[in-house]
Amino acid sequence: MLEVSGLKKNYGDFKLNCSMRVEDGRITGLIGENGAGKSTAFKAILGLIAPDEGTIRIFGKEREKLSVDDRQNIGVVLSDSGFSGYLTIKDIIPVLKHLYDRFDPVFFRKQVRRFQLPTDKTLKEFSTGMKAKLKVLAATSVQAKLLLLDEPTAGLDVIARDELLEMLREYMERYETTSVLISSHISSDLETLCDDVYMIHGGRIIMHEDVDVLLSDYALLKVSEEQYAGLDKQYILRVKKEPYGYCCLTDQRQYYLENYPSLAIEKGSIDGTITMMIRGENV
Amino acid sequence: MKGLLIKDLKLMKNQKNFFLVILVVIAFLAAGSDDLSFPMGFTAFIGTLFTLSSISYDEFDNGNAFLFSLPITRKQYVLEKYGFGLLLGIGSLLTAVCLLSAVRLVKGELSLVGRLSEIGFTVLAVLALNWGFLALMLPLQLKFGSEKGRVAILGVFGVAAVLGMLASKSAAFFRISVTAVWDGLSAMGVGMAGVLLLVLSFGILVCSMAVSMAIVKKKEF
Repeated sequence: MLEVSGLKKNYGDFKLNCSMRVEDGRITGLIGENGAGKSTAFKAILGLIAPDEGTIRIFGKEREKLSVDDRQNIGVVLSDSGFSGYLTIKDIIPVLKHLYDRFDPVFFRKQVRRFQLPTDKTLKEFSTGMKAKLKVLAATSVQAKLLLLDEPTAGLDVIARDELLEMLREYMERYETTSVLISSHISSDLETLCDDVYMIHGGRIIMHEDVDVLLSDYALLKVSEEQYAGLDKQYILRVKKEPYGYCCLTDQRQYYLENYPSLAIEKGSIDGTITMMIRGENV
Repeated sequence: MKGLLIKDLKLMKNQKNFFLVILVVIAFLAAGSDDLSFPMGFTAFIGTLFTLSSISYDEFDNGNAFLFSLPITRKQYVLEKYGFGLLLGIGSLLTAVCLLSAVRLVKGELSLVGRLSEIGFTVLAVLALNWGFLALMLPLQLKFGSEKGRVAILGVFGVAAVLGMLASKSAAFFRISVTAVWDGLSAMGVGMAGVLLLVLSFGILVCSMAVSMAIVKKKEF
């Protein structure tokens, strides 16, 4: 569905250099700290910035060769941009209707009522949560085959985030073949939603893994100096010095559970993994 | 492109009070004076000005990034802005003509039929000026945005003044009489001169559109 190969973009000190794939019918997460390069990657995929190198293929075509019809199959949410704040929901319905052949105004209006979004207020008067819901609603009302969602949950409280993720789950139930690339710096959002995640740091992809594997096979071993000295390190990916000894990231949790039953072993999580991948060192 | 046009028309709705005030001012101007060219030119100018405001509305809150991720091409965006400008210029002008006729009617003059040739030339001249204005301002606005665009326009007027002075000096040097050129235009007849002016400004507008397309093509959001 989406294939990014050797994408490079330089902004002075910051260098984006990444490759990734989003398979058909999968939800792929892109996680990283603020400034890691998530939005830059999205902007390059959307053609908002010109990459210095690399290729981006969407629906099997090079990005530059996508027609307007092809682009109607892409639903977009950007964290820092949206419809003009001077428009109202009533205003944007005819706009969407004329931009997307498959825009579903009945579904859109129904969802607007469901989320109690005001139709006559200008968008600049909306709360952060309302704006975010409207963005996701617009992206999911056009029957897109690919959703590109850059930080759709940024700045939202737990309830609003949950509602928004629910919207996405419902969309995926309705359109099972749709693919999604979603970025966030909130790992719990991605853990419950994504099939696989890419971790990005300093403009580079530092890890790609299936979420199921990450949650079941990855673990943090919290060991003392003595325990560390006697530890089989062939499955240790990263190690970090801690006051109590060492914290080690492994992708073979079962191996350590069976062979070192006395160790403190913490189940894998995206947060734990990305922290170790960034702050830890190779063994 | 229709979607973009609807967006701009919806945004224009925010300015409806301002436009109403302008129409009232025009009505008073028309009631107090026999001059048609100023109220017509002024209305068309105000209408066209909104095309530039629509670009500022698009830029507001980094809105361009989302706008250009919608299923539109950059060429279509530019084309829509020029089309919107033409539509507003012509629409405002027609509104002004209707308003002036209505004011005349209220004043007891039955119609503007007796002044058709004057109105015809004014319409052509105002449109030509309008298109010239659009041709100059749209690329500047698209290149520099609303803030820097204002500085850029001052620079352009400065350069235009210098070029004007140079042209006048050159004309004197090559012994080209401005009066003779004006006489030549007059000989063509007012209507023909108006049409010529309009064709010329349309040509400039098309060139300006090509420049704007090149500017927007290179932009990053």
